[in-house]
Amino acid sequence: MQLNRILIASITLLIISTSSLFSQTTSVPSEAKNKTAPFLFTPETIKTGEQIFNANCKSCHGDPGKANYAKLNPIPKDPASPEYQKNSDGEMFYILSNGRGLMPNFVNTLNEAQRWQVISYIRSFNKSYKQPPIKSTGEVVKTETAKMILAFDKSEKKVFATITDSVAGLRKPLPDITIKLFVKRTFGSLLVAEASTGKEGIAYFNTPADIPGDSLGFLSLIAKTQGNSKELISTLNEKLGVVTKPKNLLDQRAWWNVNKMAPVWLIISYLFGVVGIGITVVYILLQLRKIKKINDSAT
Amino acid sequence: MAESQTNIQQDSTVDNLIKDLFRTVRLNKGFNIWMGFLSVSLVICLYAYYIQLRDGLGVAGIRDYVSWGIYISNFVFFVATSLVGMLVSGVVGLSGQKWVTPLTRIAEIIAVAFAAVAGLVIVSDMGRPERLVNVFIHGRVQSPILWDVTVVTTYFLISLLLLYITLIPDLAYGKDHLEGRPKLLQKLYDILSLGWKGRKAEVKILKKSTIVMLILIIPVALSIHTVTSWLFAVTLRPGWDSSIFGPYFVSGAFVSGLSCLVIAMYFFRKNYKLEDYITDFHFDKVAKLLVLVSLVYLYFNLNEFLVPGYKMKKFDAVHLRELLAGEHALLFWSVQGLGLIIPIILLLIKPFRKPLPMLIIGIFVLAGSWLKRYIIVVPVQEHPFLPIQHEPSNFMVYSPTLIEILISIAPIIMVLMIISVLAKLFPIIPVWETVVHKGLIKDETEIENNNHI
Amino acid sequence: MEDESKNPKPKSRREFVKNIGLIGLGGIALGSSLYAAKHFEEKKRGQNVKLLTADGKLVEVDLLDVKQLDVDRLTNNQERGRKGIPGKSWVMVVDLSKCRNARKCIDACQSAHHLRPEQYHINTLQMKDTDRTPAYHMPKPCQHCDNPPCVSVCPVDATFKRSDGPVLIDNERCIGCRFCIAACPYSARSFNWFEPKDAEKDKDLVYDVELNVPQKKGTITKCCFSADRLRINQLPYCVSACPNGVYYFGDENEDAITNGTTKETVRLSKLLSDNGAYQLMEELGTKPRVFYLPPKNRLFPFSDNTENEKKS
Repeated sequence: MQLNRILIASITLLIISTSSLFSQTTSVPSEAKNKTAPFLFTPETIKTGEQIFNANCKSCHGDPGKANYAKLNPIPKDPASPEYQKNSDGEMFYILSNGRGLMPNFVNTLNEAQRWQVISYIRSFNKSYKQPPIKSTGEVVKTETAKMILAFDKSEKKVFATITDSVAGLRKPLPDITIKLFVKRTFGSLLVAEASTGKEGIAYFNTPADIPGDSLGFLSLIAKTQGNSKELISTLNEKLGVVTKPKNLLDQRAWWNVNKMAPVWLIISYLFGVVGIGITVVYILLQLRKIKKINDSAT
Repeated sequence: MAESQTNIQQDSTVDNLIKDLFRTVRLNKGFNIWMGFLSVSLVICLYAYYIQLRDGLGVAGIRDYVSWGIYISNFVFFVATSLVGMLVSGVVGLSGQKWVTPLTRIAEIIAVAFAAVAGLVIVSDMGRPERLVNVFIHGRVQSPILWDVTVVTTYFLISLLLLYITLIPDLAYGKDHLEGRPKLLQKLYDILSLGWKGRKAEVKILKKSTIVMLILIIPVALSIHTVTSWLFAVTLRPGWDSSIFGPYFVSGAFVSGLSCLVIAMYFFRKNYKLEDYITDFHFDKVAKLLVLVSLVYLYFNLNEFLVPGYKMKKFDAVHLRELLAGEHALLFWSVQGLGLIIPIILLLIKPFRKPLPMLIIGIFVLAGSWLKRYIIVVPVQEHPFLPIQHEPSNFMVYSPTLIEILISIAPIIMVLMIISVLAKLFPIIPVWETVVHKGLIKDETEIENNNHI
Repeated sequence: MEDESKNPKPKSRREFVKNIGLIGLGGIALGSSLYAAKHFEEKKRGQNVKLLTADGKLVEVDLLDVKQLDVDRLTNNQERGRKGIPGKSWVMVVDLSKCRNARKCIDACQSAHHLRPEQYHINTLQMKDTDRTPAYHMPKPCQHCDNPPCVSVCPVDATFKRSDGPVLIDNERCIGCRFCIAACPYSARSFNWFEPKDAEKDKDLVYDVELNVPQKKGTITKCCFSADRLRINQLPYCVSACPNGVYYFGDENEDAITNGTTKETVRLSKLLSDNGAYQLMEELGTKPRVFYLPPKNRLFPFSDNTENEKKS
């Protein structure tokens, strides 16, 4: 019986997923499913969550419970629906972070706290919801005293990060911490390398050599650890990029360029034509004056 | 005035001839009514333009996709028709065809009128006409519009100068043959004639100047219409993106210009009683010339449509289907048939080369010429590369509004006014040249040249 | 017209002058209508306007005093608008597999640039390349070509190419000839056929070339690649408004491009090569700055969802 039910359910699920080509294209890992919010949901978190929701989610999902979602194909789910509320907090967090199907990810646009605030807002539509107890796991760096230093090793020609924590006045290396290395770009940070700290608390990065830097080849690097409450950030400016000499588009003579930068032959031909006609007309006018002169002198 | 100084033989035949040709220089009731009618019509049309200035170009039927409508068709037509001055006086005149003499002034007046008004037509198509001065302040030498402004202005000035130069001896005659005309007009004649006496030296200068002008006007006239065709040909749009647009337009211009000349010839001959000067022979000659240029135009048409039609490239195919078999097919084939092919056939038959049949044919050809410009300008824009979507229905197809039509009629009225006034103020047949060609006075420069040989 | 030779009645000078006058009438009418057109543009004198000073005080000053200031600010805006942001070379990538015609880009764009609903700087088109290939939605902004046919033909340098890529329009200079509309193969340009939508609201705004606001009657309006936002290091209006992650925008010189929805920054070269990017009608030689990623692996079927469109 039980097996049959599961079978039917999964077949139904499969049909739904293939027909809408949308729903379950990503399955949530069980580890993520059990994740819980790092704080208690309060009217404040709900209020902030509402603002974030309206700014980022409403354009597709509409107002929860009002079914005024955008008429897209497939239809965006109503977060207030019982069907959606069946998800665990961890599942919601995962979907919100990584996106699902056509829903974009928000890992870069909302920080973890903001994502949890959105979930607290969504949960406020579920009267029967009870927030599970907060588990104190999942944080990479737990203490406030931890520090990360990003530096360049000239002999190894590698960027490295050192993470230490001060314990009783001594700095103790923190191993096994994953660090992401980004390069600063105009509209965001470009992920270039990822590494974990070793026993000495040092992580070496293999940075690609073909990243365009500034006119001297400098790159602005940012290293970040992942975590809920404590995110370590360290920056470094180093000559690791390709020297970029931007070309000025407007340097070339072209049809589309400004008057001054017109093709030389064109300017010459135009002036030649205009001046040529001008001279001829002036010549004719002089001839006419000659006729007048002949007659004026005769009378 | 001391008439003994003039080289003109004042015998009775010459005198009568001059008198006869100055007959038309007189304001009369018919002219006043005609000009009154034109002025009232023009005021109505200008009111339409006032509405356009007040409310914006949107009062016309043009929109984002078909953004060039009958204003631009009109402009192309005007530039085209003005080319007749260069064809008749320049090409035919310079080739030594003496028969063309009585027609040159009509052709030159047509040229001046159409060239002058063409400039105004283009202003009516501008969203910000008060910024016209920007073309001179910020003009970009890369833009065909700048070339067009340059050559149209130049052509107008040259045509005006040519008209004036050939008028000088006539103006001198006029001084003695304008008894009873307004003093102001006589004064005008006096000043403009530069005190012409017809001395050998003067005639020599005049002849030289005329030849220089006739030579100059040919490349300028060719360039005005070539540049006008480039307004279309420099774009990437299928149907405009053609390398033969220059000669295609120029040959078309001769067709529309000559048909306009035919109509003008007929009206001047009839109303001014000029049967002695503009004879059936002239009509016959002009008809043959019209056949020649029409055949050339037909040849270019064949090239313009057959070559892309053979290949049917993606976007060309859409355009050609629409034109040859779709929405615009009736218009297209009427224009090609009634405005080009049938006139050619008819004009090959002698009885049709008489004044009245030619008038009717001329009207058909002229109307066809106007509509041909419409066909060249509008349908292409209805099929851009990318589909027209999410737009109101009046963005999809073009249909001219009443205001737009009125504004387009205004320049036609202006042309009629300019032609009427010029034909009233000055003799419509070149007097001096007629006298010389009839051998009534000796052309002393020719004798001198002969002596040199 | 009747022939006059039979009654050679002398005419007086007065009658002649009268006729000339009649002809002149036409000219006067034309001149006055031109004057009237200019008059419409002039603001009334002796008016007071309220202004917010830099330190946050509201002051009332005579409009005439403001005018000179406005002229200076306008000149300033026009000069700045023509200067590209040094070292930048903006490009856009449109991922067609993600677009499902939400039209949020269009809304954001039209409200930023004060456009009428039928005026598009960016439009989404339903494309079907051949009978046998499936349909897809294609957002189509100005392609900001590096060989822009529209700029080539402009007679007054009103539309121009900037050193950092965008093709902009100065509608304080545009004469409204619409040659650029004729020349653009992407139908990317729109015209202010009537008084713009917000003409009344915007009448005291100083024109900004980079935003092309206020719109002006009788001039062209077009996509600006949100040059005003780029000036302050922000993504264009359409790019940041998209809920579906369709748009990427960035600096070619940095080889990085940022998705407007997810804010994820990726390498431009990798994005283009991994996805078989192409450009719209690049065979015309226009060298566009907008890349398209083909509509492959779509997670939803094509639907003709016209409900998302505003009815005009």
